[in-house]
Amino acid sequence: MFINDPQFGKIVDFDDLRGQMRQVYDSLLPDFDMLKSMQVGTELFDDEPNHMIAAGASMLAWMTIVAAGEDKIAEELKDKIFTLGWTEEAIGSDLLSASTIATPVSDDPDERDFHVTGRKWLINNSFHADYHTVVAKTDPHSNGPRSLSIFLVPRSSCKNWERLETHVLQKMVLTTFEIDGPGRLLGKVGHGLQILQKMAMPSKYQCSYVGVKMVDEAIPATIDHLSSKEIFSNNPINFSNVFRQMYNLVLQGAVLQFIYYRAMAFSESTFLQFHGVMLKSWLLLRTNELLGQNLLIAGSKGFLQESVIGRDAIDSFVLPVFDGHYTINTLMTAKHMRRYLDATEHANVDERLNAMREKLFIAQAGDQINANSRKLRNPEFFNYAQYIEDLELPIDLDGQGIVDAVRSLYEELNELDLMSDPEHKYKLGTMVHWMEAVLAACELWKVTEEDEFLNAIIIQYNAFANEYNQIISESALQTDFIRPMRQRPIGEVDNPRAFLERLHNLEDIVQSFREPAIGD
Amino acid sequence: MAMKIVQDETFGSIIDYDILRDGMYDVVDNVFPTFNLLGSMQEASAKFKNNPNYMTACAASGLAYMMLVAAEEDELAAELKGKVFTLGWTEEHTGTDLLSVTTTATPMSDDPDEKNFHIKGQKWLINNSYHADYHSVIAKTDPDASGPRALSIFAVPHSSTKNWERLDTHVLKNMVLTKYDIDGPGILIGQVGKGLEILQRMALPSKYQCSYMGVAMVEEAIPAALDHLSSKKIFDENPINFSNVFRQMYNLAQQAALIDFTFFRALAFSDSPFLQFHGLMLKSWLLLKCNEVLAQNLLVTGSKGFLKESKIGGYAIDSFVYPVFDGHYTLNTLLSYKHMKRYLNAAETGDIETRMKTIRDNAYVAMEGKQILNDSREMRRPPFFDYADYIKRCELPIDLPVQTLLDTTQAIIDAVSEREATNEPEFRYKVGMIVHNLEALLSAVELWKVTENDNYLNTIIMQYNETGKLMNRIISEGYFEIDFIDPLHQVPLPEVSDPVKFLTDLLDVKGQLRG
Repeated sequence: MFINDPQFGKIVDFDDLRGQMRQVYDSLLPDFDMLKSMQVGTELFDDEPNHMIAAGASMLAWMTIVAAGEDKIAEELKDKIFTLGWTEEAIGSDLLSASTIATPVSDDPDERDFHVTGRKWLINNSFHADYHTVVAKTDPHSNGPRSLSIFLVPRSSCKNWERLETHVLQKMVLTTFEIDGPGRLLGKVGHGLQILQKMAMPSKYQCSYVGVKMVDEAIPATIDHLSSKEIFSNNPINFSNVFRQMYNLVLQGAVLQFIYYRAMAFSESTFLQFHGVMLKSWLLLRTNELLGQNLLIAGSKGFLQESVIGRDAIDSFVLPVFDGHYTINTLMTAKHMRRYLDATEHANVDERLNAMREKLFIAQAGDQINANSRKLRNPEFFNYAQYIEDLELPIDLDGQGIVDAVRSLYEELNELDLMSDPEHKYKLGTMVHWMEAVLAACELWKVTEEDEFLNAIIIQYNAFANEYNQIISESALQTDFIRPMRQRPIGEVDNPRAFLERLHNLEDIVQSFREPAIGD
Repeated sequence: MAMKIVQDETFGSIIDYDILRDGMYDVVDNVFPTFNLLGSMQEASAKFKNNPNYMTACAASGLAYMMLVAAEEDELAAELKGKVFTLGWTEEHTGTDLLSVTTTATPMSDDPDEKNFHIKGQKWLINNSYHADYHSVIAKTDPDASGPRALSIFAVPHSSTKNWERLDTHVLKNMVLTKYDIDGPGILIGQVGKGLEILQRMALPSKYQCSYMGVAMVEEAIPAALDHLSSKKIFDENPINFSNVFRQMYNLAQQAALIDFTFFRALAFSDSPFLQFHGLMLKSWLLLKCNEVLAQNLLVTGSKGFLKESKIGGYAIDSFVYPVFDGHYTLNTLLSYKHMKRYLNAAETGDIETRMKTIRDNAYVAMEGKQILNDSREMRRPPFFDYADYIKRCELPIDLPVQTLLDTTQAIIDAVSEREATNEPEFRYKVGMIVHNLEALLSAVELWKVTENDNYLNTIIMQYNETGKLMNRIISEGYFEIDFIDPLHQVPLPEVSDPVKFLTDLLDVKGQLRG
């Protein structure tokens, strides 16, 4: 899969990649099938993170062309590698401060050809790409939301690449490079941010996919290692301390997978953005934590180059940070807080259940790339407490208590005039994420009818409680602390490995509830 | 200044083993003929600039050499000072379970005092093993023995080793670890059957040396993040001036200060029966904590931390290995379990003045000691004192309900006992974690006491809340009918006009103690 490049050492084979990209793009145009675009990646690259992310970067950059409504160009360039030429060293996520400039080559107001000048930084694929989708300004002095435009810049307009070596994903090639040459406008002048935002909605699902696949791969690898290694004349998985650690990780892994595919199942709706920002922050942070713990439990073997356990733990650090920092995504979620808490609509359990059983893990074409941004700001939230009550959990989870607690936190922060303070906005965003994680865990249990997942609910609830209490403690608030819940005893375990693997294989469990399709 | 990385024809980018060899003499000069624990680490820092690849290779070599000192093989130790050594312990199937090694040693003659043996076996994942001059090898003279007297230690020269296969790793990539065969002469170190005893002797001070790298990384990486967050501009502002970023860094700085103090406090008391008790905690609680702090530090920093040139990312990644190798954190925590009963029931009155004086006099100061010649019986019985009483007499200006923590601990122990699960490793491991967290809380209290700096009151509260969360998790997972612990409110932050200066001061525990 890798080549030994005389200049860059061991890297992704970009010639191979170029030949494979068409299959990825084909899943997105003419029909837009988000999950399929990633499943194709899995098939082609076996979830190897360097390939997945190099291909992912090219896919998202190419999707910018689609988001700009330039389908014809996108179709023509399906045999090419692209980059996301957005970031500059000085600006990070603050794209409105970009200093790359585009000057039209004529006075024609409809001119599509520009001369683009600037320097981009930390851009994946940038030495090998055929085209760059570049964020630039036509007026260097403007900095409003209409100041950005997107340009398709061929490799021939780029120069002076300097590789930036990284601690993670070391077989990708990121560089800083200069642009000084012709580029073609994508969409309209000043619509750059709008196009980016359009592309960014589905892209959050695509970015998070890599994290979910890492969990899906690394946890079974550890279970396998701990059930085959021998220490003190036993397999470590048979020691109760190791088993408990893996039990916790397996339940958390199942929740992460479920939250991801559940978000996917509801992505063709007004929930697209709400779930997407949670994936890109909460889910990828949890993924990183989980993979870190998984490595620490696996021990020495996980550190070997050949092991996915260490590789995934290390590479997973970058996922919550790049292509949109987790902080910004969490701050976006904070905006939903009031509507999330106050929603009175009555959600139908059976409808949601059927939707999930039908769609989880299944690729389907949709129109997420053309989602209406106004609608996404108002997802169809429903009465949280009522819904949890309707799920008829056999444990004492107090949905109304959660809503009341968060509401009282919100109100106290409001009274203290802390609502516009980024620290507290960020914290409120995390509260929404944790509430949604509790809700998702409840649905995990309901969809699978697997009682072991009741402990997954309790684990989410307790994590929510810890986060909630930390907010109160750190700001010395008057709102009452929340008490954790007790887990249920773990069910009978004859064979720890089989027990854990069964709980990990969520797709199999869901599959068993699927209505047989015609012809099955 | 960066340490040199050479381009080796066989191994690619690796540390320069000649530089390592040149530095080793001065490092081990601190452990023989006299023993200076902190001195050895400071010398390594001076020689190898805290580069984790050099430092870890140096530590492996230094610890392997220390086996000679622990075995009181003074002549050999004098002769081989300055050589590169390896810890030739682990085999692929054994991991931490050393009594299962299959490497064998056959004496060259029937003389019962024979020191020369023929050694045969295969070792796995051994640092420095291709480049080392000598290997301290664990082997059995009787392949069928598996008791505590089954192991012996041998100094095996490079010429007795062969068939190295490099094992590439995800971390510390500039070191060379291999698996290799041993088939040749070796010299017995100490006596036959005393291997485990020698190891254990060496292992106690070595826990401090292994943990030092974690502490050094935290000491460098947090200020590096502060520097980045106060020089970068985003939305026309330095990120450190955003309240969310400041809060994250404040929490990290508090934890880093506690890590730093806990380490140097342990060192200050290391030439005492506390050597083992503190050492276990460093090798598990502290290194896991370093890993957590460094990982969060990377996530707060963002993209810049991932660049090869940045220590922020490199340290976060490398820090995963320290709690695992040379003694897994699980085993160290299980060992702490054995102290719980004495820890909880100690009735002695702790002498605050004496302890403060010891910390003021010894912390951060390199001094000679006898940690390598410790008495293992004493180590099992450190002079614990009445925990709640000691903290009460420290006269904190906050209400710290430590008795609740102790009562809850006792209730957990009782509940497990009632369930007849006292021998379950899960329970023992969890109780070991409680001991570590209680001791970390005591350390936080002493941090405040010895510095008289009220900014550390939140360190105490944060550690109290961490301990509470741990106990709550144990209660939850065990579905025990024991009351959960409520967290405490932090003390409001003071007015901070210069966030970087405030946090830098918070991190500088040494400066506050030593001026």
